[in-house]
Amino acid sequence: MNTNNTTPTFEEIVQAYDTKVYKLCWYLLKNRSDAQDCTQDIFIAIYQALPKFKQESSLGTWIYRISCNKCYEFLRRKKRKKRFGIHVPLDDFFAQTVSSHQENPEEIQLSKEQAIYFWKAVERLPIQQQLAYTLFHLEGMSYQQIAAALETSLSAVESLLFRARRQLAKELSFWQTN
Amino acid sequence: MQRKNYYAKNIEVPDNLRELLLQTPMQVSKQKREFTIWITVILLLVSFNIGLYLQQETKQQEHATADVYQYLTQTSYYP
Repeated sequence: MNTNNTTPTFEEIVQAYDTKVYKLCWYLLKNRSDAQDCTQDIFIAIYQALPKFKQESSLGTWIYRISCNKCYEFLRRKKRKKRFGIHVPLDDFFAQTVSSHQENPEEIQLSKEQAIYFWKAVERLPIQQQLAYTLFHLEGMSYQQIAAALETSLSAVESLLFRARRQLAKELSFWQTN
Repeated sequence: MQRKNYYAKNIEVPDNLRELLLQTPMQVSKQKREFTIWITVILLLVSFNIGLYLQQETKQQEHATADVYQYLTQTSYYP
């Protein structure tokens, strides 16, 4: 990537951000084909908006802003489809267990169930909360970076993350008690 | 509860993703070309329809004028 202040070329952006954008789409949309379609849409939007990029914000923030907007559209469409009974199942990847120290098949199964329960709980969160939570945990972005990517204030991000965590904690504790 | 970071897993990125994304400029220009073709077709159809409508209106007007002329010149009620 260029180190001076000139706008990077589209090819450089693709090489630097393709995996990151795909990862974000993957964790938000939880489906392979949706994630691929969304990534393509994002890069089309980036290509079209690149001549207008004025370097007022960092390139990364700008790309995440476009990505969040596109993912927001996709998630809205997904929620609308769900209302009409069209349900896209979670990819098998999301049932994989996180820790590798499980000893018996029962523990592994329980862990899988917990993973599915967690991702379904994330899916049920309002879209803005999902975006903030994913950016925070996936990319380890700071609150300021998330605020810039979501075009909102710092306090709004704090509130979004607080509400998302509270909701998830509530749902997971419900799973544990049952 | 044990804290787990569910986002820490490595995901599998499709092999052809980068090649696909690098084709975006071509895809965008193709989309633009298709859009221009569609707009041209739509404009042609609309102008053709407007032309047909105007032609029909003019014809009707001509018929009406001819009928009125005939009525005024050939009836006994002409003053």
